[in-house]
Amino acid sequence: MSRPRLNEFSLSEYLEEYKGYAKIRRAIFIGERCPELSVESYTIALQELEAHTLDTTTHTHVSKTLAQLTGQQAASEDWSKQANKESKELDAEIKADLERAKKQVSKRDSLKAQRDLVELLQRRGLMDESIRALQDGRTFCLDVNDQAQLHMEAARVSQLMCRWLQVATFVQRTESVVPKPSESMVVEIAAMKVQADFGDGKWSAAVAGLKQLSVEKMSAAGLVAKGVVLPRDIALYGTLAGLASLQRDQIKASLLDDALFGQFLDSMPECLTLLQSYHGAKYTDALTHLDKIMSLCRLDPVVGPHASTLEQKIRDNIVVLYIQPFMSIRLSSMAEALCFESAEKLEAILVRMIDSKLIQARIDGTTGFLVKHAEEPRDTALQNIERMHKEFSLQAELMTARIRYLEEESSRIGRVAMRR
Amino acid sequence: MSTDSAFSYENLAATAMAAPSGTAAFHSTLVPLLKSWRTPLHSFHAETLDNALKSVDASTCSLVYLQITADALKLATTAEHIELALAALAHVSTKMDLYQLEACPRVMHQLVLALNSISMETREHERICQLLLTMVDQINQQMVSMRSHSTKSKPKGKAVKTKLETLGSESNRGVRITPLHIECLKQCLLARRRQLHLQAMQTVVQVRLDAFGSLTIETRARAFMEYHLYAGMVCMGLDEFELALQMWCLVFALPARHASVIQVAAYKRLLLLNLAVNGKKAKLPSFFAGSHARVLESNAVGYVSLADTFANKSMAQTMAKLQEMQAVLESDENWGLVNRILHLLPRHFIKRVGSAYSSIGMQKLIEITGFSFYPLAAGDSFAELARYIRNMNDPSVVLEQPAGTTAAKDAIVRFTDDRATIYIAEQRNVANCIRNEQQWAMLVANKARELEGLHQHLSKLDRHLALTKEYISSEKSQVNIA
Repeated sequence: MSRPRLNEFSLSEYLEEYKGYAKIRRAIFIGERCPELSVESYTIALQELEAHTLDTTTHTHVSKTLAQLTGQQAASEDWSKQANKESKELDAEIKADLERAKKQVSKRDSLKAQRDLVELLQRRGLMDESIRALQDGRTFCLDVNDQAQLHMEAARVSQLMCRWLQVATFVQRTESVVPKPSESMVVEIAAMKVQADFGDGKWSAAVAGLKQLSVEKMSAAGLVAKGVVLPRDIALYGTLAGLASLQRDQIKASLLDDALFGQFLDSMPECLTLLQSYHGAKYTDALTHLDKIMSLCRLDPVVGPHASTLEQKIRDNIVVLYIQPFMSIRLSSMAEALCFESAEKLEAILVRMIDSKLIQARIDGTTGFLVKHAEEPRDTALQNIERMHKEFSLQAELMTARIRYLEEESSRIGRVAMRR
Repeated sequence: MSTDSAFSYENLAATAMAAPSGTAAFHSTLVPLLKSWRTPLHSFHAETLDNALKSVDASTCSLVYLQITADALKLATTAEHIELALAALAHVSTKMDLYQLEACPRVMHQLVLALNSISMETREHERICQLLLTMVDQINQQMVSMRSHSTKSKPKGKAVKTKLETLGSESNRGVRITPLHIECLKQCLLARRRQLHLQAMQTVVQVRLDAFGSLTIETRARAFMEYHLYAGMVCMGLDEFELALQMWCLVFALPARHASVIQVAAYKRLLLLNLAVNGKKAKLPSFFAGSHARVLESNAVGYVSLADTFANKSMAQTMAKLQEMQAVLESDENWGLVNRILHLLPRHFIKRVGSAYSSIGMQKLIEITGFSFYPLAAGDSFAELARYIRNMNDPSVVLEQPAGTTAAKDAIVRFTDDRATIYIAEQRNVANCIRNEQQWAMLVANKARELEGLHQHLSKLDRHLALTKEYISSEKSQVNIA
């Protein structure tokens, strides 16, 4: 993949607002997929690893990859040795704290020590172990708030690993334990749900979840500072999910005219332009903007897996909207307007859409026109009657044979029993 | 009388004379003798058998005559023996007595086994089939006349127990499957004569079954399945594809503990034929157990894969798959079926194109459908496709030759809406519209009448079920729970 075609795109600026493992995972994701940006992204990942983690495994992998890409020698192992030493020391301290707390039968101290252990595991990049440690920590919880905190932490870790089902599970557990969570927790949960729904391909649910979010609330809850989900991510999720799942008038009501969502769009102006072009029926512009945004989305670990599906869905929606006002339309003109390479490529897509019943039209292959075609409702109804009658007759025939057989078998068995 | 002397043809004839059909003695002496009968001969003895046959009146005691004929067939070793035995069978074939057969179905089973064995040796399938057709026709006529006899009116207030006792008698009313029916179909298939297929269709397949009855000693379910498997194959021989599909679907109608090889054979054929007729993979009945369905699919892996390949809309892949499966199809004896239905496959690809296109050039149509991969399209694909479309006789697929062109590759294929509702502007006039409406009204009225009849039939069965002991006991237990 090539670098994103957004105006003045700078990778370092793009990644700057992300923090910790969110930054590292994004940088590695980009490095794996974009040769143009791989050196820069792996360098950023390495710097972040050395500055804020003790994850020697990822560090070794990244430095080796970087060395291969640059042709230079891999980074020395000094950092890894130092990190391992620090990990061991911290590990020993935490284990001692846990022992002490156990002997003193102090749940509060045990919980604190367990939390320290979780933090250490996360710094070492051992995410699965950290989730297990969080689950084990439930035995030391003093009240429901402690439990909620542990579940939320587990949800955060799952979020970093893009395990959306796990995120939903832990969020559900949090909500069941604390029916009325704090405002910041509500906002964080809402942001997690939007991201998880999007990550799971549930576009409508993702759009519906936007209503509970605003840039202000996210900032107040500390989410922006945490650098895991940013306002521009929400703008991206909302825009793409909305274009994929909403009708044109719903897009205006839910996204364009929504003041709160508008704040998110401020952080990602390309999304605003895309929505405006789409709603304004400027489909050529809309497709150009979509293309640019998708070039970024393919390098996003949340959107990336769905980029092709989303792009196809949005393009299909554009085609449907484009055709709507016309009774017939020349394929070559349509291909030009919708930025298709050729009328043949457009034709193949139209055939797929007609087969999927997304459009009711027929292609006149001899004149090169797409012509609206509405089936006579009576024809459809009569065909359905014939089909249903045929199926029903056969099913009834089968059931009749079956019932007759059971009836005769039961009477035969009855006669045998009576004779005995 | 010693056992050995009991099993002698003289004793048999004497017993037959002394215990004519319809008497108490018939059931008390002759039937038990026949049920335990074993032939006194160790080898074919023409004179003994001939005398035995002459001593029995085929008209009044066809059952004994059949038993002796069955013995003769079983013992026959030379062409001469077989000729004598078949002549005897021909003599009795027009004198079948259903009442006697019902008294001792074992005779029929022995006869069928012997005929099957003889047919495999001599390959005289046609002759044996003719004989069986005559016998089956006779039996069917008697069964039908039994069906039309009105049931005796039962006194009001009869106890439920009595109803349960008499309920079983319904199973011996009307047309039922017998081993003769099944063997007749089998011989018809082996004979491979169109004329016999036609006769079998009329005499056996198209006669509606009323009950299972007790004439099949082996499991009735197996007889039912075999009957419908062979019936479907007979229908195939006459290009009655819809009826063949129905017959093969009926193979899966009955409950069973496990899937049978008969069902596997039927499933394979069903898959192939349904692709050709309906253009999609056949579905098993909704009540068919999932575990059995999996067994069928695992035994018909190639066929299922072929159906899936066909659904992917690729003629090239479908043909390649068929070629790949040729050995399997031949060993399953389905290669002939494939050759019969091969001409139907391309129409589905063409019709699918019609769902997206209103008109298309020949070149494009060949590309999309992959018609050049069709084995019967040797040589000029354009000309072959044009011929195929004309032979389809489908009013919704029309081949047009633009003015000034004669070559097939310049032709255009137009697709119109399916069904009788004509919506082409130049044909839309008042008279056509009225005729169209009348046709549809008649069609809908006919369907409604058929459904009403079906509804009545199912209601009747429902009432019967409501009288069975099992249903009543389960109803009572539900009431108790409530």
